[in-house]
Amino acid sequence: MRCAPLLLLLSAAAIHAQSGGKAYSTYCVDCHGIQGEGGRGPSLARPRLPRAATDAELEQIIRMGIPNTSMPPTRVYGQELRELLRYVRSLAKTQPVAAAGEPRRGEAIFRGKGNCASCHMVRGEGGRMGPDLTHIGAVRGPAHLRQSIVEPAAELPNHFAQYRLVIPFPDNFLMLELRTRDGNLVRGSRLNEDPFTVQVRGLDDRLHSFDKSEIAELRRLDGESPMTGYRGVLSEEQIDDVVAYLSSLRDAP
Amino acid sequence: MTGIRWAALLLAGACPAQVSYERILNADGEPHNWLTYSRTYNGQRFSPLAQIHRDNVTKLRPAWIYQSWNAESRPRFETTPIALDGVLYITEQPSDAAALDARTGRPFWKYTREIPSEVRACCGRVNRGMAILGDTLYLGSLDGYLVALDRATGRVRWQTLVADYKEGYSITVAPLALKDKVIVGVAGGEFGIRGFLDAYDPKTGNRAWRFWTVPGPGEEGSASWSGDAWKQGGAATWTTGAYDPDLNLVYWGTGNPGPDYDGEVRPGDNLFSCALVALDAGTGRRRWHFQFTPHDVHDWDANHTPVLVDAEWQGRPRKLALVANRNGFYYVLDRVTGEFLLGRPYARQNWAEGLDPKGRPIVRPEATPSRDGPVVYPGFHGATNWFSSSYSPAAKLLYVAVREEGTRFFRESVEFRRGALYTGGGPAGVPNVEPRGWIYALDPLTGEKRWEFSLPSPPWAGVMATAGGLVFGGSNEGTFYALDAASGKPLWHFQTGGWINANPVSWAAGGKQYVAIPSGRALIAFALE
Repeated sequence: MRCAPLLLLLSAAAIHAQSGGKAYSTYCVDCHGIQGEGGRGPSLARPRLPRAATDAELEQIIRMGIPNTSMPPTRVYGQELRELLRYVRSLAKTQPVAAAGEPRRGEAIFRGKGNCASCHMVRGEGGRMGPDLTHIGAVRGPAHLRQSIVEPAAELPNHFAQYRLVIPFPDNFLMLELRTRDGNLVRGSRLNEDPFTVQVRGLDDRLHSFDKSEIAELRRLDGESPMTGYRGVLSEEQIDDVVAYLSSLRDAP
Repeated sequence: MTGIRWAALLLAGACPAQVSYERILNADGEPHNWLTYSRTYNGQRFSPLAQIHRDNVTKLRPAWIYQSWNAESRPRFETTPIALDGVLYITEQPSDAAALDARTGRPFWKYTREIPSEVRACCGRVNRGMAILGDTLYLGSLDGYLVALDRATGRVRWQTLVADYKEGYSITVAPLALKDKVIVGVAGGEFGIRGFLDAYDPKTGNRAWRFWTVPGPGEEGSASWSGDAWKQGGAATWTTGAYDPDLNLVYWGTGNPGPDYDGEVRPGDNLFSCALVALDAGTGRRRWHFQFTPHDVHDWDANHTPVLVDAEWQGRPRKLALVANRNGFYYVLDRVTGEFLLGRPYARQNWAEGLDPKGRPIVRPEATPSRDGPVVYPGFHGATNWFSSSYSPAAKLLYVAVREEGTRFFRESVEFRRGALYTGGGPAGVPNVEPRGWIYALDPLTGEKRWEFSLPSPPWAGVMATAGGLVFGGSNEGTFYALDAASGKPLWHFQTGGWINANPVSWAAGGKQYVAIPSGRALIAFALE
């Protein structure tokens, strides 16, 4: 990832030159990658986009975003929109660069040394504290996956990017740490909250609900992830292998 | 509760059914009733009932629940009921009405109205309540009519077309009934309308006057527009105003100019958008105006119910109008002259350096919507919104539901098409910044915050103070709660399970005080167990 800014600059100049590329590099590249290989957002470099079989659907998604996801509405119209549509469609023909690692070795690390399966489910097997990764290769690109492994907190879901009328919970991912008046310490992700109560899924895998009057101290751990970073835990090659394994999990959701 | 108030309660059955203007004027003489949108003409939304008070509010329990079967799929139940001698008159989505037994919630009658599916409403097919005068209820319908309903039967007496929905207009506001006028405003500020406020004859439905909130060529204020921009200038009038009977002035807030975010097509101050206008109730002529946000580009409608208070101001008694505005500033105006007396931020804001000595904002140009989408506070739903503030004459505090939700504001060009969305841009959220909310108690004369009560998300519900020393409010998550009016300390709460998107009210029937709030598609009434 360290060379990414330079890469971005070089390639951004290249895609800028194409019709529709300017809009792509302005609005889309941060999440969908320079060649549409995906990142925080899903790969666009595939023959069929599951949510956008037709151009009308693609236009709708670009203009309105996708509710309850990180895909925001994009303010692009007319000629610029038409060129952007064509450009996104052209990405289907690009061959995504294969991840550097070896998927089968990666799977062994996932289930073994990395202990990933204790928190993540793949095809019905594994833990449930973290996101289910059964389809992760279809919706996230390799760069994002790698970054999520080495620095999980940097890749927390990007919430509140869409303006909304009412804030429904659970909405943004938020870790809480709270100490009850009778001395219990609970860490976990917030599932719900109202002015007088809060609901938490604890790292102990239990559902907790508290009246706020029972809580002595409530800390909001903004930007914290329950996942530990794997830099130094796994070698660079091992991380490549895990990324390759995750990228291979491409069953359409 | 004082002996006089009990006497009023006992006399309730003996009151004449006709709701005369004098009865509304003297609403404090019958505190068991709620006869106009804010209970009193002064917009204070204060209940003098005190059977429920600080020391017994923990015994408040649901008394009944009325379910609105005809609500929309995502209900936004915004009604303020009229409470008259044991009967509630409510509106339901989109433009229905019902009469309910105030002690049981059982309906006496229902009025349903078909609304054409092509009627455009920016923010839900909602209605905020009715007015009552004589033996008639007045309902503004989403398809643009003022409808007079017989109080006893719910039958239509007459209906008058106020505005054509094909032009982008709709009506969501609760009308305001005065001595011989019914005042009604329009919505449609996102659909290229030219705003106005109307008055109708309560008996015939004939229009008595119209005040255009966007002046035409040659009219006063027209120099604040250029070219034909005034024709779709916006300045809607979708929240009920207040009335001063001594001055015979109607005070009404006006909405955003159109298009919302693209100010380049409408250079100038764009009068009388985002303003409070004071109109002669007899003629509709403008006595004065105060524009909170000249040339607004952030959708900061000034569609607030102003709170009219008489108080000593710098050593002499003055008639004041108080407004906690959507733009993040709190204002005190002289309501006789419109003179600006005080203005200061009460919520997070970054769009103005402050106000000049006349109350005009000193705008920071970098807050203007653009292709880059600058982050601006307040957000496009404002530091507060249409829901009511409340003033307690006992505590001498103003209670305001406050929102903090920054917005990235984008501008783009938009072509005007009759009746179509005409916003010239739009909002986006600020990633990873969780919006918040509060109830603030403000010193009305200084705007200083006396206490706050924290909410986990920016509220869409107003507040009501009572003589029981309480302030009632609601949260997005469905919590209905009572705070100590003096300290803000929460004293009671109940989880209703629905989105609360309305103002609380209170009445008494059968010797019992009720407090009610719409939530989800239910109207829930509470009383002491």
